[in-house]
Amino acid sequence: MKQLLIPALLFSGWMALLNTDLPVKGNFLPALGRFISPFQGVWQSVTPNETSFDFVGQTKGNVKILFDERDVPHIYADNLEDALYAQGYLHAANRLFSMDVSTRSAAGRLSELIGQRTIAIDRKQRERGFEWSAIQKAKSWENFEGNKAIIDAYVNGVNAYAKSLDYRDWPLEYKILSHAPVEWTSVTTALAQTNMAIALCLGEDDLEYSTAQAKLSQEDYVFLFPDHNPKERPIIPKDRLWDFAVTKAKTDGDQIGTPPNKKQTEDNRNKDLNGSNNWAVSGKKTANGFPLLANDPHLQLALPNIWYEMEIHTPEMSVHGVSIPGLPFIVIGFNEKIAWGSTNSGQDVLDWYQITWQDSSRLRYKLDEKFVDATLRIEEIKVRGAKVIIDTIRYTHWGPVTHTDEHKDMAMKWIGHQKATTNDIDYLKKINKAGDVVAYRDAVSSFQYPAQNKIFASVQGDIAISVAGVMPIRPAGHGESLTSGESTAHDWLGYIPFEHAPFIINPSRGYVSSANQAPADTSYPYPLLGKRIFEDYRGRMVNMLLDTSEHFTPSAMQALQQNNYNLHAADLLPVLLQALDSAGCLSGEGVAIASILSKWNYEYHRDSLSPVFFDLWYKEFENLTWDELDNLGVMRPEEWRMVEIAKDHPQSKYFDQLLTMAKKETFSDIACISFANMLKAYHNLEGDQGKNWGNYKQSAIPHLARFPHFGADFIHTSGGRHIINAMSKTHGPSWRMIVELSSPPKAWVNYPGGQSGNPASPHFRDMLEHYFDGKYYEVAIRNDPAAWTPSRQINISPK
Amino acid sequence: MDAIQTNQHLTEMKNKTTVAFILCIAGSLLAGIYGPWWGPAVFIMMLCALMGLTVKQSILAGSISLGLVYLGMALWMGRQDKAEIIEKTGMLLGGMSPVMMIVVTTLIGYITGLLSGWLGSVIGGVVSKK
Repeated sequence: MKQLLIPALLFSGWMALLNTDLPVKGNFLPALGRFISPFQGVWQSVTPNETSFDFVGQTKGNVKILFDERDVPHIYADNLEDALYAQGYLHAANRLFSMDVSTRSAAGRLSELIGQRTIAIDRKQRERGFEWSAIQKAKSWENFEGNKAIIDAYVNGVNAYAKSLDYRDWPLEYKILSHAPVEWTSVTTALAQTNMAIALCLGEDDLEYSTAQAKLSQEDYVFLFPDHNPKERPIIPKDRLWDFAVTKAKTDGDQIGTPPNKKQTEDNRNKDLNGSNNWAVSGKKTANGFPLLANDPHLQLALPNIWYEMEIHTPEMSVHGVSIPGLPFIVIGFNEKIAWGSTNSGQDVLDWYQITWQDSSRLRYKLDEKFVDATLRIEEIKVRGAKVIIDTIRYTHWGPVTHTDEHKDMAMKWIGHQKATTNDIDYLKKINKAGDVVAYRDAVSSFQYPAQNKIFASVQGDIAISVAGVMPIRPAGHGESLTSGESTAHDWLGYIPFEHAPFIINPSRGYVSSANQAPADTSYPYPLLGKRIFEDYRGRMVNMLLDTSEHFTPSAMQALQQNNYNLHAADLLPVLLQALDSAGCLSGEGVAIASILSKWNYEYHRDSLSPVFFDLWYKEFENLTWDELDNLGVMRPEEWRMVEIAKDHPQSKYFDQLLTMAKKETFSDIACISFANMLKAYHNLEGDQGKNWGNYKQSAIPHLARFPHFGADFIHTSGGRHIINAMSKTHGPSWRMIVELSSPPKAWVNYPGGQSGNPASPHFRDMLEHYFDGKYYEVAIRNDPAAWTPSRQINISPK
Repeated sequence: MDAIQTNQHLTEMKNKTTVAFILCIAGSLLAGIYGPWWGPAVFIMMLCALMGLTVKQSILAGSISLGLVYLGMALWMGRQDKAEIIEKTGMLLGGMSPVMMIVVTTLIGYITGLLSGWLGSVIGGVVSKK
């Protein structure tokens, strides 16, 4: 028996080693036994396995799924639940890992998958209470008739796919992370919704405004941060009359809660995150008399894409568009009667309340002259390869509390944490089936999330836009900066009633549009906060182009979606060039570059060099101008205000540089110095970044989990900030759709990516090149499955 | 007479090793396709034990067969890798080239086969003595 010892030990040790995930520099090398096995692991992931097959599912009837040439599935089902079961199955088959990661990210559960590197992210999300609110939301869905069947069908579809997988079929990312796919539930569905709300609606500047108010004189504050941009073109035209009395009904939705930390709130406005566009033009302004609707939501781009295109047929609806994996129904799209789309409203729907604790135990806080108990919630953060972390989150009347220091904690009140007061799944169900403007308004009345601009057009010829969703009514003067949490008198007074929310149907100008600008002008009876979040240029540009043109065609709409004109540059550059000219501070190369800029058409085309010069110059100009504010730790004014000050206040004290005590600089001086700095910065650009705008901008579409090399590392793109084609470094139009409301409607669509979430699939990124060349795919609803030949087919039959 | 017996013995040994080698390849393929990742190792171990191979024969048959099976499969799958998944994964796992991924795969197959064969042979020896 002794001779057995050595080979048995060696064999056992070797097999154990092959069966263990090994920690390497903060990451994990997957257990090599199965990962490197050519029968099971990474080698089996090189083929996409996109074939036709049949399976028995939890459906009431037969479901056919036919795939077209782009692998877009067309679901033909006898009832809604079966269609949604198939949708869940397809979402999982094409985005299972994306769904898992995005919902884990919202819930604060990434560390279970990744390890210690994501603990800080998880802590932040747990403090904000997103998972807890998703649990409450999922429970509240069950109170509404029909919701449970819809959610259950979708969840069952997801799990039918996930449970069918053995290791060799796992998505590659799971193999790399050595983690099995998890079961999908109604809570993860709610988290998918929350994840979108997080992406769109956490914008606020409360602490920044508080700091500015504390450190600036009233005169300076008003000068730098005026309430409204006088050039603003709000979503609802200024001639709209608001013929209702303001109501201040007490909220009927209970607070669920959330928390942040001071650092997290420092600047939620990433300049790269630049919104979305939509517009609809009535038949009066189109070449063939049919309304046209266009929508391009701008989001953080990733491979696979956030969207999944599909078509759903049931006896009650035939609808085509994009869905969000994790959620049932089509989110943006068209059916045989209507088309609809969304942009983010961008309103400030998050407020901070300063908490006064009774003592350092931080168990009781002051509210209405009494000390009341905070509710404690224990959060257990599981960390791969490390000990579980236990955190205690304190929930107050306002929401969860972040801990900065003992007596200056803040509680966060966010609209995304309010309980649903109506059936919010109903919005998607209704809009997918809607057939006219009345049904559209009924659908958007059910929209219970942070507000979005819901655009609409129909084959009957109607166009409309509604600012739909939950918009808080605050006590006068509250909501813009940090508020004392000692009195419930500071609480929200309720929400703007749906019938009072900004909307317009068939305006006389012949179009409706939105590009994240302010919803309405100052005549609107309710205050709408978000002045630093609202976009100031794209909306104006869209409206200018829609105002000045007639006889629109789908191809004109495509060109409009890809318009690269920068109105901000057009506003500011002539003033800057004039200052250089009058100061006479140019020589040599500077003269040549100023000459190039003076002939520029303000187009941010990828092959153009002028945007590089302007972008570098503007950065230098801003840095030199706002040195006083930077020194004080005060936020910078908006860019439109910068232009106004340059034009109207060239002697402003803000142009004086802090470092040059002996001299008082003016706008012209700063223009000259920043131009000289720009030249130096240009020559310091690395590689061929100075060749043109596309090279300078270095756009890329990373892999969703940021796996290097699995995304698109460099894409030569046009567009940018303040531009309709808002393609920045990694953020931009995530879905482009133009619908002609003929009967039946026709559409032109594209998105940066592909239908498959499998990096090995030819459909993982097959639409990318087409997309960045500005091309679209023409689509129409295919009602008859027998009338076309699919590239592959899945048949689901009932048990 | 002794020389003839020795030659016969050597021939039998060679034949046995060859048969074991072929069975190891076929069995590893089937166990790999239809079983868990450790299926080929268990198959080789059992085969070596049942055939009563010497340690040398077992190590030789086990290591070369599983090494070759892993190598062949890696090459076959690699040829179908239109999206360069192996290259991207190799980069992610510390900058390994596709060739290095094949080498590592083959090496893991080789060592697994070697240890499986060795253990199988020793188990076979212990069982036959009893």
